[in-house]
Amino acid sequence: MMTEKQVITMPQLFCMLFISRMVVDITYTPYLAGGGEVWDHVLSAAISWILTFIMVLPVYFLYRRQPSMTLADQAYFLMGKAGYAVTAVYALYFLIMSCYTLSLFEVFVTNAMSPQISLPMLTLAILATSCYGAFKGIEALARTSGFILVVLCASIIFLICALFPQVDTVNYPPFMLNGPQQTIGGVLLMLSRTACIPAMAMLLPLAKGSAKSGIFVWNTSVHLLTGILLTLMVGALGEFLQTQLFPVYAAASVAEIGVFKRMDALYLGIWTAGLFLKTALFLVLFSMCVRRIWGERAGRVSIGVGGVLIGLFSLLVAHNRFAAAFLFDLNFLLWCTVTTSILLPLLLLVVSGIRKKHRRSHAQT
Amino acid sequence: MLQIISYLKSLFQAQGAPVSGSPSPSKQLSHNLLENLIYFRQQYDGSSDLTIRECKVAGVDAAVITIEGMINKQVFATSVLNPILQGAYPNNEPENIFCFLRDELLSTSEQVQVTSFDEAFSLAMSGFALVAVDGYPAMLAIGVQGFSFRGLSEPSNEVMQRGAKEGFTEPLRINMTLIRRRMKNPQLKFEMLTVGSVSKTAVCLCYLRNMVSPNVLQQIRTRLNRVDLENVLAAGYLVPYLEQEGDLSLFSSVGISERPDTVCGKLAEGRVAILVDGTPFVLLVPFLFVENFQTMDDYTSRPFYATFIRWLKYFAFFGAMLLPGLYVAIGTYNPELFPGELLNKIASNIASTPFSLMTETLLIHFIYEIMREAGLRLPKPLGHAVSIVGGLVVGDAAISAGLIGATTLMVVALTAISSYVVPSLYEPLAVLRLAFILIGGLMGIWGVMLLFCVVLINLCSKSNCGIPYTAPVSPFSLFGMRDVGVRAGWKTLSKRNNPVQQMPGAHVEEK
Repeated sequence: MMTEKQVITMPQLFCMLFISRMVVDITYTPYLAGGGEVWDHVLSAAISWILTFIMVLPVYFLYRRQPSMTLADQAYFLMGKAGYAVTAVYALYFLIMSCYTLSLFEVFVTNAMSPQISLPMLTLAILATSCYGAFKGIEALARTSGFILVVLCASIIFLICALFPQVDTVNYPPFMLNGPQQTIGGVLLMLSRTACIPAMAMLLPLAKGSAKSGIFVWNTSVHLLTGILLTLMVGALGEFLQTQLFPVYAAASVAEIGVFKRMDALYLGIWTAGLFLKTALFLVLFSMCVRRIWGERAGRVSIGVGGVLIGLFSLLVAHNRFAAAFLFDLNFLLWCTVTTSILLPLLLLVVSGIRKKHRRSHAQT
Repeated sequence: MLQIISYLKSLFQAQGAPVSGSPSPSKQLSHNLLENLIYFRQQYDGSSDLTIRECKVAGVDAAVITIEGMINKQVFATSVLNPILQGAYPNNEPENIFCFLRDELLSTSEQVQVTSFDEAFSLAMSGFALVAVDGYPAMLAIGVQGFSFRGLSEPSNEVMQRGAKEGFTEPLRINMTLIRRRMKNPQLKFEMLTVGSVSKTAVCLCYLRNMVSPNVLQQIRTRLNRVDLENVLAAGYLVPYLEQEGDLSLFSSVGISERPDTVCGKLAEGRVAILVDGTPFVLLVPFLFVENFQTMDDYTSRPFYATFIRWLKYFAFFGAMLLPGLYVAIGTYNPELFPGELLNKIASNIASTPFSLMTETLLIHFIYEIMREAGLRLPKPLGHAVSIVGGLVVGDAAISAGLIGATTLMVVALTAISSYVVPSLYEPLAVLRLAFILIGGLMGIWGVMLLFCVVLINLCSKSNCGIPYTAPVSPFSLFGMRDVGVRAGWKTLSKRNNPVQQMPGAHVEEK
């Protein structure tokens, strides 16, 4: 049995997860939810907030069952070698989610920021940096997240302050004007991007402190900020928002406070920093899974291998429409997240319950 | 008689023979004075500074060994030589003579009895006079140090407005006194070590017994014992050995100070100071990143002003590191991010110069570093001339000739000045600035941000003796921020001790 040493604190863990989630939220694009009215997605954020609490329950109960064991350890403990299959699913999921975030960034840079940039160089630079971060370990990443959080929060607050004076109430239509489809699409998009719950399943045993309050603060702050950003963007940009691939970027470009104009650079900066942290964190998680299956040495090598795989697949996504459609497909992503956040932890809970029952009946006989 | 002849023979043989290495540590002093003196002469191979004064005391052969230039001759004559020659000895037994010399006759405060050659050599070369009596296998080392050294002067690198003007100097003992004078506490302990297999440099560990973590202290001792250098000629030689193993960071987790008051402040926080003989700089372990921004002046100024200055330093540091890189990145890839009026000026500058923005910035940066290095190494009057030639002639002429843009020159000059606000971080800043310019020119803003993340993770992964380099910012401690985010008043600062081993995230397991 492998038990993890507590090397980080709960605030540090949720700080990393907050950044990982916010970096996805600032790339929010209604096109992935079928296009249409962004305003309805404010309602989606509220619903998603409640559903995330429900989604996190299996992972939380699994953690409460054995607080010193990661999900991968528990899978092995409960199911023996069959547990490796569960761990492999998680390893694959972490790679897919890293690839998803990186591909979104590449789409953004090549479409909006610097169309002339070399995509392989962009991918290589990001992955080299992330691999370096992953090699430095979870403790170093947790400490780095503290600094990035300050920059991220300052930037978001700045953006909120800049957008607030430009809000026009005329831009707010009634909720669900065109039916509930937009809201449902928004909820599914938000839930499909909640890769932090599977990450929690691996990281909670490494952290000291109260998981319950951490989960509450993390989920509430993520959805609250998303809601506020969406509300301000709709109010400030109105119909113009419908034509934008990356609404937050569009809002950042027009935001200004006094002499401070064109917040694109700020936006790109926080996205890059967040992306780096998320990719590095998910590479660490991938290596934890590999280490569980193939041992310590393979775990060390897997960071580099994972980096190469993410890079190759994200380049494939950039050059192949089929691959892009596959990766950005809402249903595919949603099922991946539901499997790793709910189904597999539930399966482990059921197996644990059955084993407990067996042991009790054995003891009685 | 035969014995004397054989010794004389060995002496002549030794003069022609090559000098062997240092004697083995176990080589003990002999009963025979002549044998000891021959060994001494052999080891020094006729070195002109070895002085051996042979004499007779109560009819027994004796000798006083000193190293020329290391002793105070007046003290030596009045406290050692005269009493020895004029002493009324009880009898002519060597042991009694030696004990009489040791216990009654010689009145110096520093006396050590040595029985091995190693100890004798070390003490002689530290300014002790060695008294030997024929027939007794020991020597009496008497402290009569009196070599000349540079007097105490104002530290040149840590100038302070309202504090002491006294800085460390080269001799170890003087530096120890400077600390002891400020820390009149029996808990303050000095622990001597020797490093360097050839130079045998004296190193002193200094700490407050009630504040230091025994684990941290033991780690430092172990690291110093692992020093495998032949010569240790400056404190800087030891820095890599005191860093965390395998640390390839640009930043150092070993602090350096030339101010006794600063060192005392650090000792009070549970740090260990390492004094190296012959160096006016003291090493401090463990050292945190935020300490680079703290100076003694912060604690003599009013809190509001000290806080303002501290934030000025933070901005100056990040500005000096990022500004040229961001300027090149935005100017090259996203000029639309510049405000309109500024963009016009920058665009006209770029259009009128033959080089790309990155080449131009790199060029000015290199020229500046060359001028700085030249100004630093040259004699002072010439150094000023270099500044004038560099600043006025080269800079002005290059702009007039249209080789470089005024905006670029201004950006580099501004960052160069900013980097002097935190002098202890100049070295990493100079290299990082260059890297940021390169990456900004090649990749743009996101490249700059990625490199910044690398620097950040590098900083965050560092620790020394189990204490995170970035504490108390990350891992965060609100209590620790009273001397980081702000410089709180003395009432808050002195509320309770905050030893370095109690920093958040520290893995210092106390024994």
